[in-house]
Amino acid sequence: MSSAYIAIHSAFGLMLLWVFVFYFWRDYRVDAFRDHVFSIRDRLFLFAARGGVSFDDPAYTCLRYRMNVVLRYAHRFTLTGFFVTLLHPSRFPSFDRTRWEGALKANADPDTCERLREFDTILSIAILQLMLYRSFLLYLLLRPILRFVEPREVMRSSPNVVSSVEQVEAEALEEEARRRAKDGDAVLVG
Amino acid sequence: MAFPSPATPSKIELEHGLKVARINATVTLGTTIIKYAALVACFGFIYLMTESLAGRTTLATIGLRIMGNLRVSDGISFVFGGGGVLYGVGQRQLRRRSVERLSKMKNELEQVIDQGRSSSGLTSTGTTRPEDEE
Repeated sequence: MSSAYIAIHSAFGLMLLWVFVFYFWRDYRVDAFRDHVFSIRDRLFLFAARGGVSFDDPAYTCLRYRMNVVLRYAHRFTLTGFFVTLLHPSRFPSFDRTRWEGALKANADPDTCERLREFDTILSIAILQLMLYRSFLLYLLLRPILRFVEPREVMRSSPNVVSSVEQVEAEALEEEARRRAKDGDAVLVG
Repeated sequence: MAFPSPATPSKIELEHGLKVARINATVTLGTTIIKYAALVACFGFIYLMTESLAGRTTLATIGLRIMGNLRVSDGISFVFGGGGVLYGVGQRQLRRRSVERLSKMKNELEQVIDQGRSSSGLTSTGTTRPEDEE
């Protein structure tokens, strides 16, 4: 086999690998994440439709709003952002996190609170998985391990990870608040 | 439903935000450099290859050698790889069309139950809005 053939073959293969790792894979992970969050949002809607919580309850509207923002800015959730917030955690609770906690406390029914917290945890796990799995190499490394590790346990045992995920989410919420302020608080319906 | 705006952040909060944004920008720049350096390296290999072959062989000779060296197993792998990409892209387009078709009705039905139903603001096919792209 000639060296020219091997060189062309290798260069062509490397370019295709580049396209796969930096374009197709990342695009796919964001789409998979959005699909997951849409399914969580649908379950939350059904929970409310069955009378679990009122559609006007601040805890419900707050959680749904957060899901919407996460869906919109999913393409900005990167591993880089996650590690930066992990190394430089904010000492200030975010506005939306405080509002969410306040809305939960105001809700009298403990079962409803429990269910809503469950939705919140699932959302946080989904965000963490997106940030980790966006890197193809990290996906290959972590996916087999995470089959045997319960993500909830990881979140429970690592408060720093939880606060980093919350901070990444808070940045998206702040971006949305800035845009809403700029666009005159237009609410997207439909 | 309108959402209240966050209170004005304190100076310390703003400084922390700025610090994190700076680090984020630096690291993002680094990762972008790595990303495109990999692509440049691919082109570099092609350049070095053509340079080493220049004057010794013609494009036609390389083409003939490639064709001559092409084995059935290579052909199968090319067809399999190319077919896989086409299949993936086709499936993606199909999914986006399905999302567009099904989500419209679902959203309308949900709005009957919840008049204040809010949306993610993604496009009708479930992709990032062009103005949100970085």
